[in-house]
Amino acid sequence: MNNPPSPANAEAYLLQVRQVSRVFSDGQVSALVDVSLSIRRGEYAAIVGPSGSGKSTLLNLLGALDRPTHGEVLFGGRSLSAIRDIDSLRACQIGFVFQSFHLLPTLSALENVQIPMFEGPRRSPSERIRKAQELLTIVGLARRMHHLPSQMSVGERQRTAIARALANDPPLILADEPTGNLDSHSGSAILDLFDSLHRERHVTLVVITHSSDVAQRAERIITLHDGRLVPENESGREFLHPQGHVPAVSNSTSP
Amino acid sequence: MRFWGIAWKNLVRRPWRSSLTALGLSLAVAAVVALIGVSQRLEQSFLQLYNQRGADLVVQHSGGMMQLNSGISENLHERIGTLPGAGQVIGGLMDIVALERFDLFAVIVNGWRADCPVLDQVTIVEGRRLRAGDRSQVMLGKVLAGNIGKHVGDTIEFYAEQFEVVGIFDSFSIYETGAMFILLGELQRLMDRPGKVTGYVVQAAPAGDAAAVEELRVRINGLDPNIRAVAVSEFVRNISQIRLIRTASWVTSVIAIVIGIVGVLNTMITSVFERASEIGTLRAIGWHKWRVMSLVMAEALLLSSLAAIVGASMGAGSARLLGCLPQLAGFLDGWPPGTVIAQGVLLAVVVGVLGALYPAVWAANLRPIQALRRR
Ligand SMILES: Nc1ncnc2c1ncn2[C@@H]1O[C@H](COP(=O)(O)OP(=O)(O)O)[C@@H](O)[C@H]1O
Ligand SMILES: [Mg+2]
Repeated sequence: MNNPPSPANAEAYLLQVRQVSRVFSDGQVSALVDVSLSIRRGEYAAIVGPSGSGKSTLLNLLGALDRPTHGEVLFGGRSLSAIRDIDSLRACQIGFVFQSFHLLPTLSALENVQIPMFEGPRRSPSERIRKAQELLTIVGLARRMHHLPSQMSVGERQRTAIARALANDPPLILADEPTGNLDSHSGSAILDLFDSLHRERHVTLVVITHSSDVAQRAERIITLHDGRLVPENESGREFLHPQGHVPAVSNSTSP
Repeated sequence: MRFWGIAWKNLVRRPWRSSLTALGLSLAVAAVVALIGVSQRLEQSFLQLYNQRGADLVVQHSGGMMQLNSGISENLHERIGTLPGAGQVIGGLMDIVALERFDLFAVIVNGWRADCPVLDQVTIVEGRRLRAGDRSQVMLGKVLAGNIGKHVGDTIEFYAEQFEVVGIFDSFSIYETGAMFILLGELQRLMDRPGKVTGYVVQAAPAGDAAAVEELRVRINGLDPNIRAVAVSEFVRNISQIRLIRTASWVTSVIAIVIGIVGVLNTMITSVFERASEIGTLRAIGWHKWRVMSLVMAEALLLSSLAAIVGASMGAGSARLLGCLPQLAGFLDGWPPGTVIAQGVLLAVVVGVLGALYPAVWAANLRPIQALRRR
């Protein structure tokens, strides 16, 4: 499933991964082996697989946080390795949502959402505040804007993080186990939010998950196993947990 | 929210660490402002002493500056005074004695000729001025007389001899109000320096004309290879006590800078290390390296600006307080000059920038994925 570079592909595909491998030098770990895939504009894809299978490594490559050892990643038809100002790409084109939120503890929700706006299109301080208020209203936090992360529930923190990811209206949202730290109720609120972003804003979503809820809502499931892509017709559902929780990993110490 | 607001909130989240660092830097700035301020004011008040007397040149033994134990001939007085372009000439012998009974260990004794203009320029507030024929008679400066509680008619002992206080005088200069005057011949005898003076203060005839002063200087130097005439400003700058204080204040400044840099460095390194994950997040969501660097620098600059304000005020305040001590009255009146305060502020800012440089570069080069994995 190699996509030859052509303008048509660049139109259709926001992300193209070409024979990508990632070896971590310190442990000689091959986190990803010869992975190729493409993600259409506006697509909602879930990445599943057991722990350590290379999901985060793949997401980091898609988000230009890391570079592949072999192969290349194309964003909108351009190779990431050819882009000089990769920081601006991350700031304007990509919104990240992390499992543990990574909000700045000293800043209120309203201020956290403004952080990405220091990069990207020029905005006056008052425009930044207005935009942040708008985004927090969308994620349902209109009444919690001036709370610090420590004063919010974990679900509210994750919604703040999603509002921050949307700050510069990026076409792509990458989320690494966004509901992993949430109870099922807050988790499904987040997923509803993703659904509406996908439907109403046509945002491209790539979400790593252990939860069958996400996988059911996604249009497509990408399965990784030992750093390799499992062909998409084979099921990845065995890695999913019906309650949307990650059960405690039982490293079965047999008697 | 503004950029500086983020920096400020990062500082106040560790209020103790930030304020202690700022306090340390403030003390360094205060020490520098106070010391440099004191040394500059000492120099100024010396200069004032000579300027008010209208002095242009100081003539001394060519061996060195302000040497009490190497005098020059008393006879030069007339020879200098008759040079073309020479105005008033004041020659005197000077010594420093201890008045141990009064806990005063450095009292200046000036020996003047009976016709010396200084004796007319000071204001007699009690008794009379010295006159020809006086032997064991002394005039006391007003501050000295106050400090030791002496009045006209009292006696005072120094050089193991008894002197009768015949007059008490006031002057614009602390060096004179804290001094005592006796006649030149008497001091020459007491110091065993017959025919010698410590030096001369010479006025040029058209007063204040730089070219005329320079011509006169060259002429005086031509009189005798053992003497050297220098401009008053140069003389004051080279007075060894003032040089010592100036050197001490610069050494203190350097130490203050080094300690300040280490303090800021330590604080900013700790702060940046413990926020590695936050900084990695900033980089991951698209902040450029230079913006992360700017944030760390902004935090250090806020810290050091705070220290600059507090430290400069403390330094200026303590220099001002020093000037209020009775022993220093007249030496150090008023606030240190603005340039000294500006030096202290500049020092704090330089310290802030230098101390934050390494932590800022470290933070900017954090690899976002590594930083995110730290949690
Ligand atoms: N920065 C890194 N340095 C060394 N090894 C890493 C690094 N990141 C991931 N790995 C290794 O690569 C493999 C895949 O990791 P990861 O992509 O985080 O898996 P997943 O997200 O699917 O749990 C694991 O064996 C992990 O230990
Ligand atoms: Mg992972």
